[in-house]
Amino acid sequence: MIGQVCVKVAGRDAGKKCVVVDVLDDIFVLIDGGTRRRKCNVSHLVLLKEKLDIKKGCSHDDVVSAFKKLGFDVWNTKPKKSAPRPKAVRKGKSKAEKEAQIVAKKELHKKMAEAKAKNVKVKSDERGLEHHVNPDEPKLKEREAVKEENADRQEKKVEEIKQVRTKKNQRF
Amino acid sequence: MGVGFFGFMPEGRKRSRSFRRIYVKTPGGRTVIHYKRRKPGRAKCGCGAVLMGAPRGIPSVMRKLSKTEKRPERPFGGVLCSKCMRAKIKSDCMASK
Repeated sequence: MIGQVCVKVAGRDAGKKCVVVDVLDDIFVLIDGGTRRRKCNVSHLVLLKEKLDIKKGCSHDDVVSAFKKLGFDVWNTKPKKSAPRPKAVRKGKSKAEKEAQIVAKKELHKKMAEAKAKNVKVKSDERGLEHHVNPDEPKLKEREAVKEENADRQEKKVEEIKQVRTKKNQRF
Repeated sequence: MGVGFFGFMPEGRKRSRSFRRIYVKTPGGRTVIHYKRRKPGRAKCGCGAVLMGAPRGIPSVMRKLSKTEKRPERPFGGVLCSKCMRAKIKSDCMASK
């Protein structure tokens, strides 16, 4: 049976010539040649006179060379060259870029500080953070006054609460 | 007779039976008639068998289908039934022998 040239009768390869490469069981054989290399039901084949000298389970290239001698068409597809899959690139910047950014930022801060120092006083708060303050701003004094008032109020409240608590404790 | 179901006169072309009538119940409770084109007949093989895998639709529907959806992917697909196709290929083989 191996090497038998057949015509496939059923399916999309119908009407094409093929050769039996291997016998899988009573029903199925492996075919190749004018069709795709595939498993095939024997009932879907019509046998021809021709026979090829091929070994059991031989490669597609062997079948092709044997087929060409007889002048039959051969199934050949050029495998599609799949484009390299685009790799997901991280959005983050590289180390060098980050360092450059930091340097640039520092320089910018320096420039800004120099520019402001010319006409603006620098005030440092309790946490040691520096704030640029414009002394010409008219509302500044008012704001500071309001802040002081609020601070006084809070102190008073705290004292009141303390007194209340001590009273409660005395009751029991 | 020519007067429609609800006493309104339908368009002249709708009075022939080349349109099929579909009775639709509207949300308001009325029943209205929708006129639709009749489907063409089923695709058949030369032997008279109905072709499988060949859909039956009006041209506007068939136009939307891809080529592979309109007929089986084999020689004489959509023209001959599988039995006739096999017989034809076999007979061609015998003739070439």
